[in-house]
Amino acid sequence: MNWILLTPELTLLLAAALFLVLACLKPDPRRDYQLAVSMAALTVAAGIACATMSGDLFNHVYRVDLFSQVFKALLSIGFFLVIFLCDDFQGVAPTHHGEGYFLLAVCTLSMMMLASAVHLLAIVLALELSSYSLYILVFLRRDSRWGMITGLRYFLVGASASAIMLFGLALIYGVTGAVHVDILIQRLPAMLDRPMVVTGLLLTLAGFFFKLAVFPFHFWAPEAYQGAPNPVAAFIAAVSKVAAVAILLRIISLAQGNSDLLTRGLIAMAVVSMTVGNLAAIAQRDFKRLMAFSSVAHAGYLLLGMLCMTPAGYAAAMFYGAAVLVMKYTCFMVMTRVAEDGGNLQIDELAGLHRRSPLLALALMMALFSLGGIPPTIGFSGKLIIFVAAMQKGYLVLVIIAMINVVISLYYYLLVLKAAYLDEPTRPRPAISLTIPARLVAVVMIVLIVGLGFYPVALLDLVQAAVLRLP
Amino acid sequence: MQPIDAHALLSPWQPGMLSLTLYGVVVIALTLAILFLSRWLGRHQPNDEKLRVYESGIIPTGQARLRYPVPFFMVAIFFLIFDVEGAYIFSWAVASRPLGWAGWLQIEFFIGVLIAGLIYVWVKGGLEWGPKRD
Repeated sequence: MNWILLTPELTLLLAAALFLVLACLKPDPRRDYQLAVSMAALTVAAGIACATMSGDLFNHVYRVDLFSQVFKALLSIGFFLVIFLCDDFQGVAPTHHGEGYFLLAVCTLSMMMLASAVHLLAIVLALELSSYSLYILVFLRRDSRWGMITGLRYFLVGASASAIMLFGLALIYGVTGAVHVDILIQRLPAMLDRPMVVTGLLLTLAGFFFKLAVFPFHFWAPEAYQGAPNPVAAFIAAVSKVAAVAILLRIISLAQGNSDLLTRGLIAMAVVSMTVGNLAAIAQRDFKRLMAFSSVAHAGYLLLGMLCMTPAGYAAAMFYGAAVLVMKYTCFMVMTRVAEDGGNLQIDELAGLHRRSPLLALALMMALFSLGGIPPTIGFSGKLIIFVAAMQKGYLVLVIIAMINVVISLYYYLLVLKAAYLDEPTRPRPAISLTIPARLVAVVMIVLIVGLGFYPVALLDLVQAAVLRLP
Repeated sequence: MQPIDAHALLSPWQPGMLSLTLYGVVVIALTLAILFLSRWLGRHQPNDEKLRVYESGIIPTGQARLRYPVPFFMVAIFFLIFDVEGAYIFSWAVASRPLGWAGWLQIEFFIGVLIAGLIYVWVKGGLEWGPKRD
């Protein structure tokens, strides 16, 4: 067995073990934060260094290829960014910072496993591990009014989704008699006209749709975002979506593009998801709730790419997954810096942000433009690639619906922007002081959003090469 | 991991629909008939002794709505965790020889993780029972 293939996972495991020791020691937020950031930086280095490796591990249960490694690199970068944001970890009691880092590390580790797992049992195991870490992370909110209730709700909805997914997996196993993705690929396409197989696939996908917050499984999202500590909300909104895209691509590609029934189900979910997400977001006054519904809408766009079931569609979904990571993280970074004492942020409270911190206001503007799909941003290129992939399959009506949704979404994104740039604050607030590394990260995010908008080819080539590893 | 052939493992179970339905109807009808007859034919003479909560012959004292101490739940949950993990170790022990040293290392890792969890619980005071010491 080649242990070098496992370097990113082993680094994260080491980090998790270290954080567990920290949790047992006397709490010291400064020391914990510095250690956490250095371990996260190490993980990024490992994730990027192993990006081109390939091979099979653990009796072919675990596949390391370009597809999984690109996702692992993205996940490790997201992990680093979220840990970096934790210098403002005020939503969590100082005694629980160690546990917070530990759970973030375990969650990222299990998401990496999710990207690599090619055996249904391994997939379930990884998914459950990441879900449980997130439940507890939401629970860690210091303000028990939020943490307790939302943690419990998140857990109940998540447990139901897991049960539905297990039932779907049982159906698939019952029909095909196989649990390994390689064997499923050979047996499934011939059976796709059977209702039991399609039901099984859709129920299985339900578990992953829960992670991505697609329409009928999105009810946890606004509550969980609002109740979670701010960096954790950033983690759920940005990083966990990347893992969900990875596993959804893996499962949807099983059908190999010849299931009419499955496509119809996905189309319905994509359309309803976009529309419900965007319409519900208009009514929100809380920044995190608004972002949650915008996540639901973006899940719809992502599904639009996936349901094409062509390499172009998969590449588009993967590209957009990376774009969501950058855009959502930037929004939540601004929110975390602006919110006082790790509390929740109302949109009115953004008033006068351009005077309090021009850099954060600029970052917020670029991220919102990107979410709304205004060129030249990464969100625009991502949407463009998805729409082109859908047009190649002839889904003209679907693309038009998506475009109408993009216009609707612009309305509420611009409302946020108006609050940040045009509205006068009701009472004067002090300027926000940022540390030099925090400034640096904000600048890097702006550069990424604009740079990949102008020049998406590098990332696009990478994801196109990666999705070729899918069947 | 070897793929498992479903046809060899799962026996084809196809109940006769008619006999199953008939059986279900008979069960429900019989239950209803017995309940109805005992209510219709019997006489009702309730008294204090008969209406008392049944506690295996012991006279009940106080209410059932007590507040259980939290450590009770904590210990119950910890017991459950370690008990279930015990089941995994047993299943490894049955096949320990064919699994060889690789299997031994893996179960050692597993036990190591468990012990780390136990240490964490211990350090955090999850096993403290009784009033808090300062």
